[in-house]
Amino acid sequence: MTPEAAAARKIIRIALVEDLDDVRDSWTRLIDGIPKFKCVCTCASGEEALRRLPEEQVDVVLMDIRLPRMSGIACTTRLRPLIPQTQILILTVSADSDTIFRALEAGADGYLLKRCSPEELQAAVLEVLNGGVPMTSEIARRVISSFRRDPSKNTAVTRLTPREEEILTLLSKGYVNKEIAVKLGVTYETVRDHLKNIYEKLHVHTRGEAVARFKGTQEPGDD
Amino acid sequence: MCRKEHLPPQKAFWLTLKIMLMILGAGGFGLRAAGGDPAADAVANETNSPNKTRPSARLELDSANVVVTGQFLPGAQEQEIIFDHPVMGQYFCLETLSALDGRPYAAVAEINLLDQAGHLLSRTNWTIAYADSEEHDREDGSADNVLDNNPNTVWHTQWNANSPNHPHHLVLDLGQHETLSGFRYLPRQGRGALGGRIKDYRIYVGDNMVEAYSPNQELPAKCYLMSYFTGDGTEGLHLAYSLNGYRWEEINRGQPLLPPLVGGKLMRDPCLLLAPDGTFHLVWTADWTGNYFGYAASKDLLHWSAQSVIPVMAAEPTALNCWAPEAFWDASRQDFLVFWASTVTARTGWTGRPDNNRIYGANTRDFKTFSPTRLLFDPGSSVIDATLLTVSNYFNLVYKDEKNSHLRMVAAAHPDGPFGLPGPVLETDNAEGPTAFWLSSQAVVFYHVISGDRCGAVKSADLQHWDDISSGVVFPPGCHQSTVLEVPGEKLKPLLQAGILEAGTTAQASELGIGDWIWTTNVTDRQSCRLWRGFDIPGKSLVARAELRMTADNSYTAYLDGREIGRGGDANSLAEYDLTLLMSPGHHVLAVEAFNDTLDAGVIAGLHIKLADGHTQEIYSNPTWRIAPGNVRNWQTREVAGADWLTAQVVGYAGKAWWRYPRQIIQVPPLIPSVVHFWQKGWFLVVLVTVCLLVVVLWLRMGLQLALQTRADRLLERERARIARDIHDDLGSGLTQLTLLGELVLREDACQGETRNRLSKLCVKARTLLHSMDEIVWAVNPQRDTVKDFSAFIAEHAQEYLASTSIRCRQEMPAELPSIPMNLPQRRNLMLAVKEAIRNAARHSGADEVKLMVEVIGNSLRVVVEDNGHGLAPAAAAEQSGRNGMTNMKQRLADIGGSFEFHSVPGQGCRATFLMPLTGRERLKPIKL
Repeated sequence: MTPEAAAARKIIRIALVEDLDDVRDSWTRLIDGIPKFKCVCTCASGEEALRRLPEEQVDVVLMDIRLPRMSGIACTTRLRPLIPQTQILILTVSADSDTIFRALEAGADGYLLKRCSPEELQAAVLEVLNGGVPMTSEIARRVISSFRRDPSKNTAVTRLTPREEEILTLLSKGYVNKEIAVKLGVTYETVRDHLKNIYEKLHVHTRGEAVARFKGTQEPGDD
Repeated sequence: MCRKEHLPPQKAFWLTLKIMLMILGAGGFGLRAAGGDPAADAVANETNSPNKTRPSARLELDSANVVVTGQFLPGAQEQEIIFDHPVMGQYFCLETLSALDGRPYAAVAEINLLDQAGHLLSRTNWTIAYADSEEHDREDGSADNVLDNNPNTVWHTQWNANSPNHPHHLVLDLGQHETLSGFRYLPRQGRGALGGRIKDYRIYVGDNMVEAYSPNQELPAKCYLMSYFTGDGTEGLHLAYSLNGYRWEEINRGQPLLPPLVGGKLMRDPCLLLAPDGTFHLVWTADWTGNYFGYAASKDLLHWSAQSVIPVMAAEPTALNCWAPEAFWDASRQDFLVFWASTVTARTGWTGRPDNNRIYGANTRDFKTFSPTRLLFDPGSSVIDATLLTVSNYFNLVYKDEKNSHLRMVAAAHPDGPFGLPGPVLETDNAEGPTAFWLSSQAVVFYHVISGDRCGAVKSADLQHWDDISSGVVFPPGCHQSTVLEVPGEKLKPLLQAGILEAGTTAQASELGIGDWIWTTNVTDRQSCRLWRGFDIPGKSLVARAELRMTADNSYTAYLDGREIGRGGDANSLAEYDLTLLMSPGHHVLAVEAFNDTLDAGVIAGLHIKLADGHTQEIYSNPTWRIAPGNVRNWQTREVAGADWLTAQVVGYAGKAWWRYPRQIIQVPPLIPSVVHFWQKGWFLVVLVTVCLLVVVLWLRMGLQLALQTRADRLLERERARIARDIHDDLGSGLTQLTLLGELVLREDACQGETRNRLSKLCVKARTLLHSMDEIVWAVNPQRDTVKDFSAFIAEHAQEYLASTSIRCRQEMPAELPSIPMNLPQRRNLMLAVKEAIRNAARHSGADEVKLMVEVIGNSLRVVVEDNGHGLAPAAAAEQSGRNGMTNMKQRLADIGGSFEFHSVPGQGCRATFLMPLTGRERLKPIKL
């Protein structure tokens, strides 16, 4: 059963990790207000999320990046292997590419600005369930440099295919998925699948590094 | 000093003994092996060697101490003599008055003493305090033999070189006060009437019978010194001394003190004179033929000047010889009269042999320049060996009349004549080499008897009648043609204290130009000694030659004026350093750092400087050297010795004890002055150091200012970061929550119509505000202040902004941009300018694609915004550039030192280029406060 089908058929189960009670409450109500969306689990901390989420069978996790003690990124790093099927979206106040990239490295499937409208939230959740959020040119450049930084670490699994590299290059030049599909003569879904693989490889590629980097520490600049 | 080969005999003996015992213990055949060891035998012989001289002592017999006078019986049996009554004393003296055979000898096998009860006293602590004569040359006649419990060994008076007559004296020191009731005398053993058996005797018992002289004791003010030669005269100078003029003691155990080194390497007839200034002058026959005699001088008879020959007969080409020179201090003239015997064939007729001598003389003050040689005494036949005896107001010349082979005397009013008629004959033997001196109120003449190869003596109270006193004088063995002079005891002291010197070594040391072995007060193992000697080379004369000869036991490093000139470590060889090029008039410091490994230690050195004007200067190792303490720094260059620096001690003379005479001289190549460049000179270094210090001070000041500046910058950054975080945290999350709440209200059913509309606008406005805030926070956040951050931001912005339009966004920027920091105005101005350009392109160009390019070229950051729109005609472009937007962008770039270019071609779009210089400053590390 494809995620699209699941999304189309049944309620989308969403978990929210947010430390502020007011904000968490507001988000819960907002999510619940969206058709077919159901906030089934709210956690006040990363530790709670690690404890509860593996059992909750949620489809999407909305992870606030600013959490006390364990940051959202550190939490994502640990959560990712526990719930590989679940999509994780990072909630961030600013669209700082550095932060976003680190979240993606940690295993997040996309990000969402906290100031987004309910419509944007809905679109982002559906988008991630359908195969990942689009990659901005800046993120694409970072992905490229990340893979280039240490080629020796690239295994057969994590090495980018020529097509993936092609797509990344186009993304870094400002092309959007649709344009890429047109330019390469493939379908939009194909581009999206490639993108998904790239995200996955990025995550695997940087996992070791990321685990070490985020292990139990609050990152400075996690804003 | 490792002196394995110089172990004292006793030590060596015991060592050998030990080794032998060890061999004995280890194996079974050790005894034979040891017994057959010639080295062991030699050592044993050496330790038992009787060849020693009785310590110098003066006998003072008091007739009050006479206990008994009597006659011994003939025969070899022991004889016991009981005193009339017991007597007490520490000393027992046997005085022999005659021998049974009437000859001058005395011999005794054993002597024992009886205590009050008539028992034999233990002889354990007894010593021989005095023996007037002992035969050492031809037999072991040591007086010690009377105490050795061996009847076959005897004390025997001299009979080989000399035959002193009775009375003979043997004094026993009993070690303590004893009461004696008698004694036992064991004559020389053997059958028949053997020589030396005593007939008449006298016994003294008492205290203070013998006054022993040790070198450390004060000698009498008046002593007598004899200079003589032995054998054929090639050995060199011998000296002997006497306290009474009769009994003569060899100095240096009869070994020569000064070998002949000049002329024919001969030293006969040495005549020693003590000048009023305390200098000993020595003249001697330096050759069988030739027109010169030898000369050397000494202050202490230990250290001698270099020997020289003085060609006094150079003015007489036919002079054949120059014999038996005598030096005489002429008090009236205040100079020296030197006279000698020469055969001048041109004057006395040709014989071709030096057998027609006359006495010639010359005067001198310094033994360097002499008055013209003149004939002093010519009796018409050959005369030699003249010597002068001062009588109250005239002078007697004692000489050998060769025609008659006897000694005569002739008088004159002046030392140099004219002499009157020859006086009486002093003796009738075939005598030569007289020396005359006053002993108390009697004139004494010593001479050598050619026929008997012995010495003789006559004395006279009136200079007319001469008595033979030969038997009363104990001459040094082998003594030949001597001079006797009266000297103060203190002048003898250094010589007697020096101990036994190796033959002629002090003289040779003088010849070599070295001083004494010196060291600090205490000699210890593993000891360093720093010897310091400052000296001045006077005047302005250049140094023609400067040589340093030295060595040390065990090792040394020598410095001249702080410069190391050499090292050495062989006490047996002298190193000779040529310091000519290092010497100049002025002050110098010679410094020697020496190290003693173990046992004896010393440094010996001599520096000889010859100036171009002919003057010389000599510096020897002696007590003028000082000891620099170990804690003094730069002592090698100290111009003046510290007041607390000790004086160097003489620890030995060259050749003394185990310090052998240096075997060789190793010449070190001349030392060349090290070139002192101006940058090595003091003033330059001072200037250099000053400049360096100034630079350091300035640098520190600037650094401090910079640090303060940096600190201010960091504080500012920190403040900015705080503001950014506050805005972000408080305002941002507040606004976010506000928006969320707004959204929630919007979704409530009650919210309808205008309210809903306005609330919706409110939410949009709040989001816009959040977006703007994002940018502001980015701009002020010091953690996002690099070129990399800037391009990421502008790329995100362009993409986001253009996504809301139908215009495609294309970007050309490298994946990696450098982390060169941009300051706040740079970031803000460039960001606003680029944003405006993108907005302009999106609004006015009519393009469907906008391209953003970011790159670093050299030291500049270049941002290009390009569109593919309709472009502008030049006029329009000019107009466009005049508009506010363009002016703004230009101004913003100008504010940050950059440039802005706008380029447009109609139909081909526009191109805005921003060029901004990068300062290249490293990002500052945040500081913790």
